[in-house]
Amino acid sequence: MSESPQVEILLIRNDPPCERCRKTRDVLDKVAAANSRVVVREITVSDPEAAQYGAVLAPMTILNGKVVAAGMVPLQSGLEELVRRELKGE
Amino acid sequence: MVDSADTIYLDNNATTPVHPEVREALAGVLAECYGNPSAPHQAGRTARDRVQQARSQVAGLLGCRKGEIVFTSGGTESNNLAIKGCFFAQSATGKRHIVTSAIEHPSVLETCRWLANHGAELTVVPVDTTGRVDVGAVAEAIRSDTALISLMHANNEVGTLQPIEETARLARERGIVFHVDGVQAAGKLPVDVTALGCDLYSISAHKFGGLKGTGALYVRDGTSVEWMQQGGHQEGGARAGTENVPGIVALGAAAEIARRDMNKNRRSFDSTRPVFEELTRTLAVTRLNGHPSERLPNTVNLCCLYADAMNVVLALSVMGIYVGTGSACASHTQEPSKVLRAMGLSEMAAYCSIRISTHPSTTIEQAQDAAGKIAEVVERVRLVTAPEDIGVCDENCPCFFEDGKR
Repeated sequence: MSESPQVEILLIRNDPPCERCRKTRDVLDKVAAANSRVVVREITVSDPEAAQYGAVLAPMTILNGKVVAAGMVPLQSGLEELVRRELKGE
Repeated sequence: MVDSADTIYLDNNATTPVHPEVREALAGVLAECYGNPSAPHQAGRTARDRVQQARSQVAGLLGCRKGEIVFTSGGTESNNLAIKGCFFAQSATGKRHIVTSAIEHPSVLETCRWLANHGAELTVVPVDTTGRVDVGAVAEAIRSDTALISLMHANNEVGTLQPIEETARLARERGIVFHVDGVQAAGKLPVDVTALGCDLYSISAHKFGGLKGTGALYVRDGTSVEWMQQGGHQEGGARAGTENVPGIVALGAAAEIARRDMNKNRRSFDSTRPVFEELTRTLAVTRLNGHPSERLPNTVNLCCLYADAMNVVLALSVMGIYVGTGSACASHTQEPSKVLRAMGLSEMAAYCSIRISTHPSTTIEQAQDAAGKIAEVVERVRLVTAPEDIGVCDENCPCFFEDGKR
């Protein structure tokens, strides 16, 4: 049985996705590919769920409910560090 | 001010919650005081009495006579009325020049620019790196046809206080009308317009516990102002239109409460502000924007270099901490703050600046909780942000640090 995922990265993107939304998705996929305990989920800015994150500035990257980047492509290295901290419970 | 157990509101320069005692005063007015103050019957008389009571309360806050108070729809209208009214009262005599500063609120700067398209000539004096106007620069800007000097008492974004008394002396010596935008100072600092020596002073109710949509303009007796809103004879002809009785009553109550609680509120501000100022020592490459001492007691504007402010604000919002990125009137534009740019900050430094503005009810525990979360979020945002995605830094920027490496 596979280990259950412990970190969810949510991407809130424009619809249709803008260039930065696509680049962000690429970064998130790379982070997920490097760690099986990471899952990536994607919603659009018009999704009712997006409203809970305030003024939506796509692409928004949300890691286990915490906003980590808004309106910009997150650095892969920084995101991997945040994932590592989440998994350690820091 | 805390809305619930889970949130800490630190954006009080944008707006404040309605004071509980103001809510009480308002409830009675909404239920019973429905008359038109211009009507001769008892219902109208009751409403008129409440408006006059509020006028006395506002005059008490500002240290003037109640006949010198004109109620308006808020700070923006007060500033428009003061500047346009003063200009049009003098332009026929050939006085068409206005002096203001680079860090004024848009309701002043845009009004001056509008007048510049309608016959006015405008001089915008610069500020130093703390956001303070040099009175000498104002003196140099004055011309024989200067009609008006307009400066803010306290800046909304960084809280820096301007040399109002010195400027008022200068204006008086030269026979120039002096308008002060006091929207951020009134209710937070003791204000005595007579002692300050200004001719016009704008305030806004919702900045100190009143309702949005109500404000006032102090007009010193004898000041020549062309009234801008024509119609009925309300406000002695100064501002036509049926009075916003609930808003005015709420403003009066808020003014009286602010005056009564001034010292107590100051002690509260003085206890919480250092908690946020401490972040300049505990967080790397973080500095205070604004004057170190001549500043509103509730305001801390921090440049957290390499942490995009919009990211920080949104991340904190999800955690129940509400801070600002600059003035509320500008923060939706995603342009770097004109105030911070005028103070010499680079584009990047301006984009990395957040405004924390406390309320008298903010406790030290809440301030400490919020400061901890700000530090956590800034560090997190820095980890995932490429500096080149934020904006451009430049060699003139005072944001440079000796240890300014990530």
